[in-house]
Amino acid sequence: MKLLKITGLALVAFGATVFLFLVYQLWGTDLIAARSQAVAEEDLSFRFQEVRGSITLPPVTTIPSDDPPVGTIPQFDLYGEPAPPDGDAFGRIVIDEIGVDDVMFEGVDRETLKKGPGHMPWTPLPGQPGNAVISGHRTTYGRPFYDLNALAVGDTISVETALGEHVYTVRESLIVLPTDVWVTEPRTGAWLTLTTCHPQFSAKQRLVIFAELTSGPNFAYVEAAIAITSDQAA
Amino acid sequence: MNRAARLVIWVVVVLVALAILWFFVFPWAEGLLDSGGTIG
Repeated sequence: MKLLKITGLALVAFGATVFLFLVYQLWGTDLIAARSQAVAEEDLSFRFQEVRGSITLPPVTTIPSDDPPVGTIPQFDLYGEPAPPDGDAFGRIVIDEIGVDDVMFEGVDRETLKKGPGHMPWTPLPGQPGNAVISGHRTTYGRPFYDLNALAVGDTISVETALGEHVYTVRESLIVLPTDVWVTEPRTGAWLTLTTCHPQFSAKQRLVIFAELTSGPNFAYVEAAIAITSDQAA
Repeated sequence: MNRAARLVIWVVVVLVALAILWFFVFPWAEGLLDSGGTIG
């Protein structure tokens, strides 16, 4: 009889623990992320001010995507910015179609991703040539990429860094395994790759969005570089 | 075993169980639910 009572109490305690854990994961973690985002707003302003005071900023005008350079290829400048320290806020991602407006952080370790979307440090920063990879939570810690599956080809993603605003256009979305590291490999041109867990409430797979730079401080340079590469290949 | 000794044992058992949950089980379960979407 005593054993039955202890077993019963243990089961009740287990059930209560699981319930509280799920409540914390699905709602409590949102509070942690919201607080981190609020603090990061100030950090981001400070970084923008600091970096903009130390680098050559690009002109405000950009070449639209439907007017690529033709004929002779002029020399365009490539604008860069210093890599942010691990865990620091460095930019903002805005996706109007799915209501995303979050500060991004450098790094994809567990603690950094609790604050918001994180940039894989071994890939270029958004706005630079190559493949910039950003990962984010799907169902916990503010769930920044909860509706990422709703993005369609042609939708735009805006990323603001100290250099200015970089606009990307969605080209492809696909489901891969967490071990499919090829999605993070360098690409010709300038790309933004967003990754998150799939399906919702499971980390079994990854939802990946590939978006191409279509406007921004380095757009002219990237277009010219692609044209030169194409000419050399022909 | 007197009542005080039993109480101490129970407290230790509960604390050890909570530590295991906090440091091992919860992080593992959190990763199952949403690992942050990282690749590799």
